[in-house]
Amino acid sequence: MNIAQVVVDAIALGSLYAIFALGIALIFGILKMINFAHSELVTIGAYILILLADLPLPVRLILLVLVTVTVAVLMERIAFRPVRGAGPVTMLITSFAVSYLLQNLAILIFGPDLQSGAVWPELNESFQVGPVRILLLNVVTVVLTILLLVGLALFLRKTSMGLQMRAAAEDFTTARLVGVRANLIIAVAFGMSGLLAGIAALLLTAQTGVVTNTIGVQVVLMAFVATILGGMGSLSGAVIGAYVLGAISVVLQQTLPLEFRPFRDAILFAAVFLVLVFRPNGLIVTRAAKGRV
Amino acid sequence: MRRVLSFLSTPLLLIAITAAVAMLGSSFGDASLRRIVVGALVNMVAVIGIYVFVGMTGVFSFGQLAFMAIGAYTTAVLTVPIASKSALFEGMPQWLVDAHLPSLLAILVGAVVAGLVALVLSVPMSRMNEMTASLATLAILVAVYVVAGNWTAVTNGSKGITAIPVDTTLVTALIAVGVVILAVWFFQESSLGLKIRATREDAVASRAIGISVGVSRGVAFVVSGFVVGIAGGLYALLQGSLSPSAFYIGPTFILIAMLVVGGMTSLTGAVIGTILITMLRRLLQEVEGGLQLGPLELPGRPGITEVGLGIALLLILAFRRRGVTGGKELTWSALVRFARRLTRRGAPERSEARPVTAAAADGEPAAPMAEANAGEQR
Amino acid sequence: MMLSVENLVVRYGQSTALRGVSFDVEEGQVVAIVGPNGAGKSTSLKAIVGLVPVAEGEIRFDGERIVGQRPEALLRRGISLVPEGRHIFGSLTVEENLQLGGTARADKRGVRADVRAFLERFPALARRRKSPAGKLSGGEQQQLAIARALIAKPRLLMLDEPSLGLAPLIVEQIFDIIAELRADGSTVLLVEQNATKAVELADFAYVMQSGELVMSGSSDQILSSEEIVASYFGGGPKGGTE
Repeated sequence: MNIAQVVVDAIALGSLYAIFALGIALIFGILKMINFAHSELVTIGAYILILLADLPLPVRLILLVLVTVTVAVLMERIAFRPVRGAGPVTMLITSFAVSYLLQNLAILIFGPDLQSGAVWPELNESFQVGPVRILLLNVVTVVLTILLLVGLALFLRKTSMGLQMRAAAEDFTTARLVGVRANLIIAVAFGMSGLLAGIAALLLTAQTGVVTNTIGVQVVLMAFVATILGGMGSLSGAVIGAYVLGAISVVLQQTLPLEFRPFRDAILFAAVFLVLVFRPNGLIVTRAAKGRV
Repeated sequence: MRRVLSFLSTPLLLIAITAAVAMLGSSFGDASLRRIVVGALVNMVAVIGIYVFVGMTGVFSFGQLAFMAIGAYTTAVLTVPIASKSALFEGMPQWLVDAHLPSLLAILVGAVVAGLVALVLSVPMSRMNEMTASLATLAILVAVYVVAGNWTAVTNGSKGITAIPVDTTLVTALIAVGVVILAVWFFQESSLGLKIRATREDAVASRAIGISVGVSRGVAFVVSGFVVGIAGGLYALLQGSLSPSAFYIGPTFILIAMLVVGGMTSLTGAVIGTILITMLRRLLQEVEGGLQLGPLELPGRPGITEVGLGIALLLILAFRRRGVTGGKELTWSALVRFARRLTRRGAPERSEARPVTAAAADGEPAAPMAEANAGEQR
Repeated sequence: MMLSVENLVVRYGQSTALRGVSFDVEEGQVVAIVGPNGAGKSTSLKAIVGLVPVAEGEIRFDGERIVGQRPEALLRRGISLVPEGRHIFGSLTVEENLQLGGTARADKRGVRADVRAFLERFPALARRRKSPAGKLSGGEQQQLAIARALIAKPRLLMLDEPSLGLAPLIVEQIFDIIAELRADGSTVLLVEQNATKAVELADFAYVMQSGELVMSGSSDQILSSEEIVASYFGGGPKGGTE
């Protein structure tokens, strides 16, 4: 087993998962809801990148960000705001319903078949550093993740809105009592998650150039696992969980005997289940993640 | 005798309504409509099974269809003719190849296996809090899906199982629905059932009077797994073939929609919701094929049904969260009132005090919102 | 009349928490609402600030109807609530908690000055300004919560059970702060279980029980009536159940 390669792959995969996880964790932190429809934001982004392959990439990127952010904010306004105070069960079902609706809307509009187009094929190039082979795509992923993490940290720690968001994530009601505008903060959080979805779409399609209406599903599932592993209360937990998940995935892929490889995801989810048994709030517990009865 | 009848009024009414709708549907339609009716009855069993957990404990579960899969695959393996089995399944252990049971027994065995798996899982799950348990059920759904798709020796992987005898008829399905409705009614009205439902209303208070929330949820989970397992067996014997995607996210959504639209917290909700959504689906499927509305011709497109269902569910969640039935059970008197309202259409409605605009509805209210008209039956 | 509440009715599901309550707060007054547990005192404050839906009745601030408005909007009108149980942001630092008080203010420089002034006033908290607020003691958290509300420069400050769960010595300190506010001419609406101290401090007091107002009067009147003192401030709550 080429340990160096495993490490490099784990970092690359972990970074990708971190982008997925942040999109979910941002919303979960404030609204205490897993936004399953996040996967459809990714899917919409992917369709834009691939179906408009005739347009130059920078134009597509701008459109990508515009659309994913707008759809995210609209989604909140139309589907989630009416149920905002209704309790976690209703919100969970709503999130599920929005996801289902958008997924099938995509089938309605784009048809059920695979679509393909060149997104950023240059990223497929790879180079060799000693025993390790690195894809340009991986480098871009890691760099993007670092930029996002730094940007997010600065935003949350140093800006007024970031402070308001952290307050809202800890205690939404009291935040409103000190003047935090609930609707604005939530819209911003959704907008940010839209941006993250767009980036995820880019990274997912850059290599393969292929999109189906379920391309986003893996995003939410992996993000969900990462968030649970890392602790459901914090963004840093989600990121840590993402890297742990990346490492576990890569290691399992290398070490599992051949007949078990297809079951890798089942094993992953069984592991998640076990984690939830012993650490119901995730591996890293923060005060904000206190569960209900 | 009167007391017994009064106690049983809800399940008997539900069975009567279901039977009436089923008979109507199957006598006026062609064979394909008949199959839809039987399919809907099987779905109803599944939705009732989901209600046993989600409706009675108030904990949302994505994963109940995992148990439908377990019940279905077990039943399938036990009913596919032995001769076909060794050809169909590469690597299946001999004892499994030789195992064969008549359909009814196969369904029961399938349900028992599903119930046992639920039992094993319920132990860790009963220790989880509400949100965690819901997420754990998602993990279960995915895990079972992956296993079903890859354990080729037993499930034939993603190719699925075919050559299952088609044994579920309108009559058998109706009988199954009737039995399940009665059984679940007895369960929910028993003292154990009441305890479970108490935990849904106020977990802290029920703990204070000695009800173990974990155990209650665990029991509901197992019973739910069993009932959904029955639905799985019926499903296998209806379709004649199985594949893992029949028990994954798409079908899960439809069954959840049935329960939520009907009313998550009542058996009536499960039954009525199934009927309503099935009808809605049928309607939307017609539209999907293209419509002729007088001079207007609307082209058909695949996907309209699912989009329509999604919108329907979102509307209910936004405007009538407790579902069409308001989460209450059907009673004879409610039915009579409803009939009277229909016939006396001009009569003035009772006025209810409506809460002044709730600013709190935008954010986090400190108390549950007052619900107007919560008790009306449709 | 700064705040005027008329026939306020609030329901939680099937039960009625407030059965038609009316009271006023004049500018510059300290008004206390006292009464046993479950009387509906906290509910009144929550209704005013928009946290619970109002079934019937009217609430006016500076003559304008405010029922149905959101808490963050009412803060910008000048109503600030220090909620029961303090509710400071435990994972944020002391300084950040104070800064949040200035969320609705446009003059950020003024906010920074006020934050500094507060920290100078309470050196014990100044030493911990970069630590998470969750590490403070109950009394310190209460001071922090009140300061946070004051930094918003509200016209009406509402305090929900400020002495709850605090040791007697700390309660003294908290009431000293309220006395200072009174001396400054601030308008305060105070809900308290610790009836005696609250009424002593206030200009005017209302007594609430089971969702209704059973008595009101200036604090002198209330304290000087032996019968009242005996029933409501003497032994345990008299008939004061949910």
